[in-house]
Amino acid sequence: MNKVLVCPAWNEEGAVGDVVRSAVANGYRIVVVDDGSLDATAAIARRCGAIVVQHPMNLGVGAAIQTGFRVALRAGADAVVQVDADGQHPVEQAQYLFDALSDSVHMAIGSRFAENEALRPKGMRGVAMRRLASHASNVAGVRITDASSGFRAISRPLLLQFARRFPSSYLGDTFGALLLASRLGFGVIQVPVEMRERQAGEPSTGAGRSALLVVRAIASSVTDETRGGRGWQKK
Amino acid sequence: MAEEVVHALLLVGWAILLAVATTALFRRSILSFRYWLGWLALAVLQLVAALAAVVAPRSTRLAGLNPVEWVGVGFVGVSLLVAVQLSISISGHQRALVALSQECAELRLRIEELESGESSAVPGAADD
Repeated sequence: MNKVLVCPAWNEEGAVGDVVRSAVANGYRIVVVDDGSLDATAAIARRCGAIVVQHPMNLGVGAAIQTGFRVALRAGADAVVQVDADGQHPVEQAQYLFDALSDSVHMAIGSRFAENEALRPKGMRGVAMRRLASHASNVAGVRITDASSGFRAISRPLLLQFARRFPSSYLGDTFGALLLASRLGFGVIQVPVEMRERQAGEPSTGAGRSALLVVRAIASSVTDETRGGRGWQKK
Repeated sequence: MAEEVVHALLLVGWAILLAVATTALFRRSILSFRYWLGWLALAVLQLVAALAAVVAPRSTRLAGLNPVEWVGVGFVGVSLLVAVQLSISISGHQRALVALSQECAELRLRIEELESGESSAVPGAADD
């Protein structure tokens, strides 16, 4: 199986180097999609051994991941694992996600909370994440505890569809893609993984926005984009 | 001056202002033909209302509203429709911009590969 890591990055010069070095040390090729960074993200990633593709401007994480899928497919990837450029996703755990893929499983979600619910954030953010997980579990028909996890493996049949079209709505790259894969008939499971705190950079969503997270994510889940409506092919 | 005449002058003034402003924007290629036509139609509607206000002031009162008020209602309605159309148009442009930028990024990568003599974006990817 030809395995490639896809890493969307935006102003992550402080952490992307370690992520790329770790990928190379574990024997993976890694595609870093520099999503219009204003810092040295692209140069550092290239110097550390990544294939770097640069968006001319910031297009958002969904578009960055989609570009990464296209480049990975062009290189003959049979499966990819998405990793964050901020160092939260330990590359050495990518193998667990690749191993979970099979003829009937096309997306393996890395979950921080699968074996330890106590790790879930407290307060409003925790409530929001639980709500998303519950909704995702209902749609997917399997237990999902970390619906917004970006640490996930995707195999070729689903990758081909996502390379052509990928949810661009809020949380579309995580929650939306999960719902879409399930609705299109692709197999989804979760795999327990460990994640780290961000190594550098600023989180893209603060705790104060958590109250809106559920509303926006659930609202986006009723669009054609995540319902698998026009233009999508069922498996 | 009769109230109807004042209303009519007001309507004509706004219609001329709207037509002149949008025509100027269209001539400078700032406004597309479709939107220019839409605004001109609104200006013509105002002129018709102005005419109605003078020629048949009583018969043009409908549901308690005079022609000026009706034009106001129409203006709000058309403006909302234009706003919705613009939202659709902007959303479409956003999608097109993303697609173009992605194509641009991939082409740039391909050029870099060709310049460096590589044939594949990800040579020697990890195999099992």
